[in-house]
Formats: sequence, structure tokens, C-alpha cells
Amino acid sequence: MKRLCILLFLPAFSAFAGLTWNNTSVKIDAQATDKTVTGIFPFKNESKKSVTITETRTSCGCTTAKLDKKTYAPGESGQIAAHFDIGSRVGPQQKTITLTTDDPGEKPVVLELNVDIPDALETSAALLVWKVGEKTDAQIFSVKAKPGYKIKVTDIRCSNAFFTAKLDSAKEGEAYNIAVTPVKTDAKTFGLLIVTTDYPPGNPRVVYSQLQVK
Amino acid sequence: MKNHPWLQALAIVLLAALPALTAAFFHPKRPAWSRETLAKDEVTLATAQATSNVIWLDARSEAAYAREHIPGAVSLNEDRWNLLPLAVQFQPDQTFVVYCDSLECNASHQVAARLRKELGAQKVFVLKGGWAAWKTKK
Amino acid sequence: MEDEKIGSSRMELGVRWLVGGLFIFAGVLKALDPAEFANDIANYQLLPWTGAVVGSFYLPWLEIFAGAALLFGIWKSGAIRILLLLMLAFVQALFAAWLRGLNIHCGCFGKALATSNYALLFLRDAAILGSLLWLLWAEWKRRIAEEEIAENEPGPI
Repeated sequence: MKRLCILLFLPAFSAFAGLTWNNTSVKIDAQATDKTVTGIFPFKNESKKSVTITETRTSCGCTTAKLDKKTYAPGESGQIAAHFDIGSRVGPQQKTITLTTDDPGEKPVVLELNVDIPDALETSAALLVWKVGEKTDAQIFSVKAKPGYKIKVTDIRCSNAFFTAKLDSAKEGEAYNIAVTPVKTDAKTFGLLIVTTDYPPGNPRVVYSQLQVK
Repeated sequence: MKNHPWLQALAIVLLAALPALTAAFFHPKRPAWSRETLAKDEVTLATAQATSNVIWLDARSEAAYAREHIPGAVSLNEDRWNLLPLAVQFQPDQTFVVYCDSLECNASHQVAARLRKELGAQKVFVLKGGWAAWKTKK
Repeated sequence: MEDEKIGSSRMELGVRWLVGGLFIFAGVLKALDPAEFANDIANYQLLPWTGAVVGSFYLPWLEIFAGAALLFGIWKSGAIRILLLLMLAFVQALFAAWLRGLNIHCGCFGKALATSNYALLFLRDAAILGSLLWLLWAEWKRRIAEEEIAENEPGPI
């Protein structure tokens, strides 16, 4: 009977053991020019024995987790640095790091790195439509840099020769209006307007607008 | 039988079950029986393979793609986003199936969302189980 | 060809062939691609996925068999009843989808004639339903005529 009690109590003890975290979720507002961001997750070993971190697994190849060392003595503090390579990502991102320790009673801890990457590019509605039989009037697609950014349009073209596109007006580095005209509107057709920019320098953004005669 | 319309109906109902059963076992384009855990934009490997004219998109890292990928798949990931090769020949009714490493990866969902947003593509699906599902079925 | 001898009008024959042919056409198109049809059924969000799969295997063949029965005049009374019930079910499903504002793909004719224009779909279903009801009515009228003939003939005493 005594033995049974010990068995029953073991899991309860281990729930108190192991590492305690100040915060398992970190939010970072990145700058549009950032290439990487780093989230710091501090922790402390508040158990009575040393804890070894056996595995860190990240949800994306773009995220790496760095530890100063693997084994932490009782009372010792440490931190995990999560590096996130932004690459071509824009908008809100959530990357997770799953961390396993040598304590068999402890569940893996999931750390969340939430990063919001602003988009320095603004475009008008990405769909220009003409009706069959309608006049071949030009329609405008506009590309703008958010205040504080300089973005140039370097190339304008259409995926389909039934549409032509040219620069209508521009404020160099800030705003571009592109005029798109269907060659004729006697039949349904589909194409894409393809606008290449020089931002960001490593892998410039290309923006698209659907073109339809329908 | 002649004067009993409902008996005739029953006979037709039963007869139709025969080819239906055959189809359930042997039809080359039969749907998968289980789809319980599929999210709205996910497809199983069987469904994706039964669909014609699919463009496979590999959302894993370029290194993983270089090692091995689904035959005909195009590499497209957010480390280095480049839609241009797809855009120049894009048609709105084109079906895309995006995959990443396995069940846990999220890159395929992000690539799919971006494809919908930037090209206005509508038939964009995520392969349930990703590359791992492909490898185990092969 | 059991009923052909008594008063099956040309009009009735024509409608039977048209409706029968239509259901065979619809059935064959769907029988060719059950995977696609299962998705179409699932789009109505009325059945669980397993139900959609069972339907995708069975419904096309029911339409083909009932359509063929109507076309060839074998067990056509039974066929009319099956197709009527089927159409009632289809219209109800369509109505439910319309009420909930679902963007369905109909799936009625496989990929051919795919439309999500509800007005067109209801009109088409109404036309088919009308034809079937008319066939039922023609059959019922003929049956009364037959019974009258039978009553007027001397019984086998």
C-alpha cells in the first residue's frame, strides 16, 4: 500500500519540478527593413535537481533556437534566443519552438514567437475588370510606398498580350499609377499585371493584379 | 411486378447498388472514405492525385527541394518568395497543391494563403501530411 | 414495352425519352468522377463526408438505371417515382443551400453545365420536376381508362 502511494504521488511532484518561464510567448513588431528578429525566452530551474534540455524543435526552417548551454543546476537561470529569418515574409507570423528536457514527468514546453512584419508596399484593388463589348478604356492600378520608405517600380508587364500596361504618372520612389488597357474587349480573356519593384534589395517584391475581360 | 410501381422502384434501387458497389471498390477516381480531420483547404494525397492538371508547390527549404521533391513540383517558399514563373502562365482555374514537411509544418498554409492573396488564385489546397505523406505512400 | 399498347401518346413517349436521356447523361457524367461528385455533395454541407462518399458512388447509378428504365419503358412507373423522389430531395438540398447562402457548384451534371446561379438551377429543376409530374399524371389517367375498359368488359364468370 505504501508503495502505491509513492507511485501516485510521483507525477504530482514532477509537475512542480523543472524549468519555470517568465513568458512562453513573445511578441515582436519588426521593422520593414529588418532581415532577422530575435525573441528571448528567459527561464529558471526552480527544482531541486539539475535539468538538461535534450531537444529544441522549431516549427519552421526559418527559425533557430540558441541555448548558452544544455544543463542547468538548481536555482540557475538561462535563456533561449529564437532567431527568425524574415526572408520574404510579410504580415503576422507565428513560429514555435518545442523544448524537451530530461525530466520524464515534464511535458514539452511550447514557446511562441509572434512577429508582425509591416508591409511597406500598398497597392490598389488587385482586380481590373472590363465587360465584353465595353470600350477599351484604361484602368489604373496604383503602387505606393508607406510613409518613410522609398520604393521604385522597375518593371511593368502583362502576362497576356491582350493587355497593355504603361506608367501613367509617378512620384519617383513614392507612388506609381499604372494604366492598363485591353487591346480589344470582343471576347473573354484573362491576364495578370506584373509590377516589379526594387524593394527589398535582396529579393525585390513583385505585385500582381488580375486583369479580366468578362 | 407490372402493376406495382413501388416494387419496380425497389427493384431499380437494388439493381443500381451493384455497379455502385463495384465503383466503391474499383473506380480509379474514388474519393477517400475518411476526411474527418481535413481542414477546409486541405486535400488528402489520394484526392490530389486523382485531380487532373495539378501544379505541385514545394514549400520546404530550397535544400530539401534540391534533395528530393514530388515529380514536377515547383519550389516556392517564403525564404525567397518568387511567384514570377507561376504568374506568367497563371490561369484562374488552375489547381495548386502545396506541401511542406509533415503534419506539423505550417509553411504550406502560409504559402497557400499568399498565393490566394497575391495572384487571386482560388483552387489552392494544402496536402495533408505534406512530404511525409508522399514518402510513406510511395 | 408492356404499356405501349394502350394510349401511350407520342407526347408522353417524347417526354419520357427526354427526361430518361437527361438522367442517364447526368448519371454517366457523375459516375465517371465520384471523387469530384463527393466534393460537390459535401459542398451542400447537409451530409457528413461518409454520406457524401456513399452518395457519390450510388446516386449516379440510380439515375442511370432509373433513366434507362424510363427511356426503354421497362418498369417505367417505378422509375418515375424514384426520379420524382430524387428530384424532390435535390430541390430541397438546393433550397437549403440557397437559404444558407452557400456557394455551391451544383454538381448535378458533373463538370458539364456547372453553374452556381441559383435562379437557373431552380428553373432547371422545376422543368424536370414538372415533366415527371406530368408523366405520373398521364400514367394515372391511362390507368383509370384501363379500369373503365375492364369494368365494361364481361367478367370471366
